[in-house]
Amino acid sequence: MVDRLVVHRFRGIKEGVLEDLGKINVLVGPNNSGKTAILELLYLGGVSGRPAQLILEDVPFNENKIEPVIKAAVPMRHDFLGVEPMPRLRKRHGHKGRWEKNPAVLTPEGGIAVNLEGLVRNSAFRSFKLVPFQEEWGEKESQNFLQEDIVEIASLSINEEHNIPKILIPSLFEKWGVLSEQSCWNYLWDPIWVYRWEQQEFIDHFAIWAEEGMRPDAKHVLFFDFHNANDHFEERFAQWAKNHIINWEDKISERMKNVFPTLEGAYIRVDNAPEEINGETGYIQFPKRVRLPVDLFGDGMRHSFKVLASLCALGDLVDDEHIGLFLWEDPELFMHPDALKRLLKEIIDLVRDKPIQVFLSTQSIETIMLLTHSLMESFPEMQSELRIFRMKIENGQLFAAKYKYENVLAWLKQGRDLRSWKKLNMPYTYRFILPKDYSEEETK
Amino acid sequence: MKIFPFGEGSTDKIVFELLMEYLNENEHLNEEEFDEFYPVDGIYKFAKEIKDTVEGDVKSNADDICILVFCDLDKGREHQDILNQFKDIMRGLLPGWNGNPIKHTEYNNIYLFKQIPSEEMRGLRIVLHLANISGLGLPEKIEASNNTTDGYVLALGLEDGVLGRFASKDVRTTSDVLHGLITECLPNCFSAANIEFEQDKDFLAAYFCVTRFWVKHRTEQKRNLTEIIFERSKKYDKDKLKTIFSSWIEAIKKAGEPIQ
Repeated sequence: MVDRLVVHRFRGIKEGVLEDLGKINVLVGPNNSGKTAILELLYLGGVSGRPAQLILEDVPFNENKIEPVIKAAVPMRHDFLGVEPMPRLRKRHGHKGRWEKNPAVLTPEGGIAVNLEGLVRNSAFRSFKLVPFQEEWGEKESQNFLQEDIVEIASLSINEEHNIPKILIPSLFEKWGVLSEQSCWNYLWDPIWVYRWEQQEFIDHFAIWAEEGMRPDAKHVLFFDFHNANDHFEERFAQWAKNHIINWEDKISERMKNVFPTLEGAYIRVDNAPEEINGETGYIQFPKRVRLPVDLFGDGMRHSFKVLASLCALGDLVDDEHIGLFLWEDPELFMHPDALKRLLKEIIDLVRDKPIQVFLSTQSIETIMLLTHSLMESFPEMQSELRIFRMKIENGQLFAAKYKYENVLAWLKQGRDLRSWKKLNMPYTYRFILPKDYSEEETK
Repeated sequence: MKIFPFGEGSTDKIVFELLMEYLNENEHLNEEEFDEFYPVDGIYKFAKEIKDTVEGDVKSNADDICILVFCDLDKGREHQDILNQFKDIMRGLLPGWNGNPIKHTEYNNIYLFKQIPSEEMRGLRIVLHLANISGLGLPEKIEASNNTTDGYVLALGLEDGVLGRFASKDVRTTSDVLHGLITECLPNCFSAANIEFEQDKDFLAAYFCVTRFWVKHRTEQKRNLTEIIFERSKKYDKDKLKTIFSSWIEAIKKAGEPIQ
């Protein structure tokens, strides 16, 4: 699992650190506090699994003691759900999916040459090449880059710190210290993601972040947001899941019944979307009745179906060597609290015995309370895995107040709202009810 | 700065909220900085509740943090016992902190524990208010008993401006009569029956009784009595409220001051 995250100039975050990450992490905080940014950088770093050689061209190697070739990786062409990672994120922020101004060209050898003209001459990253990995580094045959990669690749990852030239390490990272073992360094050069790109020079032209700990398998990164809830599954994902996940649809049916008891007696199948729309969706079939697309039901049911189907598939795929990462934005989306309570319980049940690290971002106190309640009532063994981070950004500095289970419980019990840094003056209050037999160890 | 107020019981919460209201009406106070008041239900629970509540904010290094605590002082309990408890709380939040409590120059029942902010670290302060009901005009036997928030409420309730209003409006007698019933007659009856009657809580119960509070207001909520005592004091004898609760007010104001 990722234990620690150090961020340098990613979107609104000039610098920041998230420490002591758990298996279940919840990001809360005001708007523009960096919650989605953290999900996005975890996603981009997580899917970075296509091996490549990084060759820095403008650096006098001997003088800087730099290896001429650095082992690196770039994002996969498709993420777990079959979506193109960078285009997906660019579209979320109102840009074209494809970055047509990427200063990169395809080389005759099937590599990518990037020339960042805005950077000063002699800077380490002014121009570099990404070359498909050599066979001796892996088992599979070499994969040349294609023209479409030029507009979809704007980031790379380096897995071992000792390979990273000093001049590529922002001073921030020295300040915070990043462990050399099991750390992954990510570099992103598309200006829309870089904090105040236009005002910077040299290394600050990059958004850079380091992840400490065991990274997820790039194929096992599930980022679920509003768009996933609304869109049909990509055909490539649905077909793959039906062919490879044993009893996938039955598993989805069971989970859905637990969330929506009215589905008792029904079963769910995944099939082509109606009216020849691209993609596949779920169909609910009661005996002797016409099957109906899940999309015709309420939005909450559609959301639940999509997220449960995705996570059921991910859960079957992971193992200790290939861990999963589940990023979920706004679990409360479209959900009635009663169904949300059951959905969260199913989600925890799905990940509790699996090597899947979870990051949720939410604006909902109900989500926080129901998640805590679920851990209290049904999954006490998971309580120590909970971390809630209340975040804020001030002058680019990311602050995060971390709450473990006992902290969360204290806040909820006391009627405090841990989503806000200041007392919220709202025309309502909430009360978290502890079970009658609940007892706390007193500190005497 | 973010301020986390704690107390021992529900009366502390009621009084704190009424005083905050009073201070907002009369003095400049940044109410937004004060989080919800939480009664921990017993002095031994301060350590766990405070740690569980504030450690995330302290470690985030995002804001200066102040912890405001209203603590009762039971008969026979020394200041030092409680101060040691709060030193441990400071150390629990800031490992390596080795400061000492600073006694308020004017109020000997207010103590400050602090870590002054630096470039690397935000400030942390505990403002500890120990209840002290001596000098509030209460009968000696009450003063000799426990020091709790009820004593302050009782002292305010026994002031002429407040008790006189109960006497004339609700009971149709004089404040002297009610005062005698609360502080002499009822306690003596209990003593004569060998029933202990010496804590401020006992006297506050007598206050409920003789002001015919339950009859007139048809409620058993203690909050209503405290609210009415405050309302009447504000209306008829504002200075007394300020005098009797002066140390509380000072503790709240101290909590709102920058840490330096």
